[in-house]
Amino acid sequence: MEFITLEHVVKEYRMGEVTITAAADISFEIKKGEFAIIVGPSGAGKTTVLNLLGGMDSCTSGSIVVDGTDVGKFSPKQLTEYRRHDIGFVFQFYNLVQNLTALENVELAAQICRDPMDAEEVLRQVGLSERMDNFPGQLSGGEQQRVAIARALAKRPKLLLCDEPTGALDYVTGKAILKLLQDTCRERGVTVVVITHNTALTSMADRVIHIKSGLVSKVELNRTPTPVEQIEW
Amino acid sequence: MAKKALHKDLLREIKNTRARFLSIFLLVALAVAFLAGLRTTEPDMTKSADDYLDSTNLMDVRLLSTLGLTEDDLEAASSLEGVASAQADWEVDALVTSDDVTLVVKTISLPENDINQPYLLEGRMPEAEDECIVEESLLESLGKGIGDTLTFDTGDGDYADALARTTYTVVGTCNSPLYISTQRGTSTLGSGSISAIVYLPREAYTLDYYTTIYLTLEGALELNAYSDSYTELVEAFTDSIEDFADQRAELRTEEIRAEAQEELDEAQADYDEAKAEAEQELDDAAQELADARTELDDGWTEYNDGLETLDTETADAQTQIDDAKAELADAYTTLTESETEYEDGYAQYEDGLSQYNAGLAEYRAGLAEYESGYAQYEDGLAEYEAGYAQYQAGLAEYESGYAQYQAGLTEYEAGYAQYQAGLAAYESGYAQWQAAWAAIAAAGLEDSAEGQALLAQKAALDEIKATLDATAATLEQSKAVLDATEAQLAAAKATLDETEAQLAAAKATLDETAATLAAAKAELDTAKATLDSTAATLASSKATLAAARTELDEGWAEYYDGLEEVAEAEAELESETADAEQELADALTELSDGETEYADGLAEYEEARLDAEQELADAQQEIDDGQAEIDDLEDCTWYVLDRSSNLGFASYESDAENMGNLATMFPLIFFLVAALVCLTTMTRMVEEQRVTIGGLKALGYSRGDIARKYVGYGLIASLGGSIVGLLVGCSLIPWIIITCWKIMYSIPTVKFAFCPVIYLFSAGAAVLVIVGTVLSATLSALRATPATLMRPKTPKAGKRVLLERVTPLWKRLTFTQKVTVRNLFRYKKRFWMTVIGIGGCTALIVTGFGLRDSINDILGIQYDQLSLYNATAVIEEDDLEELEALLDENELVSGYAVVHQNSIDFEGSSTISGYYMVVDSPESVEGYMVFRHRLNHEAVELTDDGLYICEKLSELLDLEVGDTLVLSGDQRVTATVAGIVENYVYNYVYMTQSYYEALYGEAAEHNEVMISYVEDTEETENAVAQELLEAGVISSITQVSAVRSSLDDSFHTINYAVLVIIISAAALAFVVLFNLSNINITERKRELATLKVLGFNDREMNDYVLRENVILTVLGILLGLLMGKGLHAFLVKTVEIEMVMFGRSAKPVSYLMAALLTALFSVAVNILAGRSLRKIDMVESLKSVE
Repeated sequence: MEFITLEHVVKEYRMGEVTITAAADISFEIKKGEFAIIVGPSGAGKTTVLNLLGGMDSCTSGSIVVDGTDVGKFSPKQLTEYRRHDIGFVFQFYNLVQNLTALENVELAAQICRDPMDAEEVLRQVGLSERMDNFPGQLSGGEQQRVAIARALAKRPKLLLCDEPTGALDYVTGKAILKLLQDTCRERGVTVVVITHNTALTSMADRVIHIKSGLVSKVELNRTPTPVEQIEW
Repeated sequence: MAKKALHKDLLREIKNTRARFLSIFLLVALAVAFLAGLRTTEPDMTKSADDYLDSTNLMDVRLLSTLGLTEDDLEAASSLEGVASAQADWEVDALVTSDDVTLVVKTISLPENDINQPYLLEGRMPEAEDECIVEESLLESLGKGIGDTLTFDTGDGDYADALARTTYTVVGTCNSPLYISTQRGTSTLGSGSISAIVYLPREAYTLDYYTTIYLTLEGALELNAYSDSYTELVEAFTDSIEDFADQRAELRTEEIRAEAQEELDEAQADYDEAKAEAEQELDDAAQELADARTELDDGWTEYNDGLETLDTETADAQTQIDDAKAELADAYTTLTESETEYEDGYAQYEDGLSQYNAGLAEYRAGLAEYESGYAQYEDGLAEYEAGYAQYQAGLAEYESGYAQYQAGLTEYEAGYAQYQAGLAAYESGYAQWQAAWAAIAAAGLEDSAEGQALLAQKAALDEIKATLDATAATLEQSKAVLDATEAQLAAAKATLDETEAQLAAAKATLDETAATLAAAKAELDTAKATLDSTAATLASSKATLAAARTELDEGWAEYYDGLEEVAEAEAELESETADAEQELADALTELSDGETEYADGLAEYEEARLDAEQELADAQQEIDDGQAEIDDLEDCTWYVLDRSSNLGFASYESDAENMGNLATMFPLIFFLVAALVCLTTMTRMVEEQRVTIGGLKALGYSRGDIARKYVGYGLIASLGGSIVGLLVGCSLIPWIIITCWKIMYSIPTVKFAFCPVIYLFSAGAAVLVIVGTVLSATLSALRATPATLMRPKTPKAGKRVLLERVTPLWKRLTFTQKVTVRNLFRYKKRFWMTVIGIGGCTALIVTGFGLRDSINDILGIQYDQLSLYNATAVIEEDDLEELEALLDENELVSGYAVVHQNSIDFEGSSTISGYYMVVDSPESVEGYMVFRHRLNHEAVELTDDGLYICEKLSELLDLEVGDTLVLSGDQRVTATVAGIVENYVYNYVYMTQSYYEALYGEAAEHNEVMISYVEDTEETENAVAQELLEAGVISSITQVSAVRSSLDDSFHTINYAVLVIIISAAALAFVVLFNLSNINITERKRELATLKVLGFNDREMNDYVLRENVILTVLGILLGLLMGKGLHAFLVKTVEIEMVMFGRSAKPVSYLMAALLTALFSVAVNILAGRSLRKIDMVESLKSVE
């Protein structure tokens, strides 16, 4: 059963006189509980897809159905609600609030949704039980990204969107984070969409969507995804 | 070109950060405008005034004298060293009345040497001597206009006749440079306060002395009149002429005294003369009376003599009449005898006469006969002569006819001869023709031309022949006539000869008759002679008779005349006697009248004598009084006054100084706040640009090049802002303030002084602060290695705040509140910047409002709570009782209190001018003055232990209860401070009569009265003032309402300055808040974008960010209120002028207003911030940290 369906999604930005087409015609599906990777070179339209999926932007035409609802036509207010309750977001640069401890960063997200997980519990689950009261400045990059994942998970999102989650991390830490994401998907059944330009990672995904010049060039289904530990790049 | 790229980068940077650039630009502009604007206001004010006063050539020094000034004084003054020009003027107060208002005006003579030239507003200067110019306000108050006439009444005093005429036509309106403020001084006329100035032509004044002399000094015009160098120049001059003034005053005293003495001496002389004259007159009258007595006595004598004379004279006359009667009787007898004699003579004469008449008749008949014979002869002679004449005529006729005949004959003979000749000629002609014709006929040429001519000739010849025949006939006729005439002539000759013979016979007869007649004539002549002798005898007899007759008639007439004369004499005697008697009776009456008249005259004389003596005594008394007055005459005093004694000039100076004081501290604080915010913003900008700086550095740009970009940014913003600020601030702020000041001062145009120091200081400070900040921030950034710079700066680590240690409280806070608290303390620099910035603005607003409170309140407190009277008046010496009587009677006055008040200098740590008031007892001024402490309003009871000084004085001289100060007036005494009381207007000390006596050793005379009205209205004020002034019991009156409104006006203008301050402070607050909020948002854009992505809705976003702003604002406001209190207290003391104490505290409502205003701006800024929050793009969250 398709959890996410994009059909002929077009996104154009008007920059004064010029119209830039970020997504020319994108259609794909992702099933519930899948670990999907959207891959493509810089400027191919990955981030646009992410923005549209994450409810940070609405599309020019086409439909984006997430869990049976067309979010492509949402008003800003509905989008805010959608982001608030259905989406978990993991950023390349973690985007933690510097002034809050790890726990508080998680609480920051938890306090605004309907049925949040216990913040401490989530942090424990991501392996940060010892660093809960530390400020982001006192944590390493990997730890910060874990906090970010915890923050995303605490909301019990239907969809976990990750934008180059390893982009700012070293190889080992990056792997650990990817492992965490894969485990989360497998264990919690959360649909995870990871966006990356690193094709090496595609083997770990259930579904790989290749995007090139604003179009879906290829969708691969991986019957047997490789565990993260075995991936090398 | 590296630089080009950098320049482009700089310009683009400015373009991209418009808001920031603009906010810095504006902040700098505001700060510079405010600082430079307020600071240049004082120089601008003094320049505006100085330029105006210079243009009117305002006097530098004024000379006044208690006894007037003379032409000599003017000359002496103008020749003083340092004097540029001198001018003497008259200044006379007068009343001018319209329909229902009477106003007091001061008339001033139009300047002669252009000193104090009035500033003409409308119309023209007076040209005729009945024209004037006046202040505009006068026309408004009187409801008149240019072209109307005004009538001036100079009162009954010294100046009663000071003006030559009373009515003048207004030809223009003007301002007087002598009175630039609204105050016009006081007068002894009318209501006592002068309403306006009027300029009259110099001819209008009739005073023989000037009332004032104005001087301008050399070198004074070039100086600013409010500068120290000007004051020094004038002071040096006034000091130098002190002796001169004393000398002139002495001279004037002597002159006046001499004049008065002279006048008095003259009066004495006049008196003496009058006295002598009066005495002379009295003596004359006495003499006259004596003469009258004598005359009367003579009259009586004469009357008695008259009576006697009458009797004797009547008797004499009667005797004479009787004599005349006897003489007449004799004359009658003689006359009757003479009459008889005459009758006889007359009869003899009658006989002779008739004899003569008969002889005469005989002679007359003979004569008639002779005469008729002679007439006959005469006729015959005439007949002869006529016949002879006839004959002569016939002879003549004959001779002429003969001559005629002779002539006709001669004519006939001549005609005949002519005829003969003609005939001969004809005959020869005819013969010739015949010959010719014959020839022709012979030739047969009858028809030829020649023949024809001959035929014509023949016709002519025939014609001639006819004529000759006619002539012959005529000649024959003439011959016949001549012959007839010859016959007639011969007949006439015969007749004539006959007549001649007849005539000769008649002649002989006539000669015979003539001889007969001659004999008859001789006979008659003899008879005639006899008759004539008889006639002569008769005539002489007749003459003798006529003479006798005449003599007789005369005798008779004489006789009758005598009779008549006697009768007349008798009548005359009778009437004359009666007349004389009448005359005597009249004389008696006259004499009696004379007696009565004499008695009357005598009485009159006595009366006149008494009167004259009284009058003379009075006059002597008057003269003696005059002498006493002269002896008592006060010495003349000269006053040398400079401009500081000119009300308007001095108060303008203090107002300008006020402005200057206000400008010293206040804008500096304003400036600092703005600088602080700029500093934060610029530091922040450099920090944001770390990566760019690192990149440039990595590319190999030198530090200087890199720094140049940011310094350039700061320089452009600050320099641009400074220039705009200077332009706007230095023109707008002084203009607004001075224009507002125009309500009080008639300074026509605003002039801007050039103050490079202020410009450079303001702009320089702004540029230095900004550029310095940028430079230091850039340099500190540049110190790091490019690698460090290019890596994102590790975000500032979060920290636990102190509050978290207070677990119970911390736990109560909601999560977002916790976040807020931690955020607040996270950026300490920003926290303080914001709090101090907002606090500064609030403080400025508090100060602005507070200043207004301080200024506005004092009048209410002073005049509604402390000084409860409505007017004060200076009592004329010795008129206290009369004044009290008048005040007691006056229904408009509810009460009064008398005190002693005088001006004095207080010497302590410095010298302050003020007044002291001596009250009889605290009770005597109860209800008029309230003595209390300012802070707790606790009443202060005046005791006899010392002075009670006003709070301002205690501050100025740093005095406390128990300290001593010196009162320096005519005497110097040292007094102890017994208490400090609340008072705002003027510096006052109060003491009781007993303490005064203790100080000075004598009682203080009551010289001032405080009056309360039943109802304080303008009508009451005018009515009371007029009554008291007219009665002469006070020399001047000051209405509290007038003082109050004048101060109110003055303070009102400060309100405008305060308004400028408040608005500027508010503008600053707004810019500061906006800027800080802007920094806050830009700085945390990523964080906020992330929150958005996490699903925070707008309200939650606002809460998250703006709660911080609100807290910062609240803290800022609280701090600002505290700072404002301090700043206000400080500023009030700085701004205060010496003579007034301003309120020391701002009202709660001012604090509230300041807080609310700041909060309002905060809300407005937050609304703007909310908008920019919504605009934050979530995509920001995806960007790498920069």
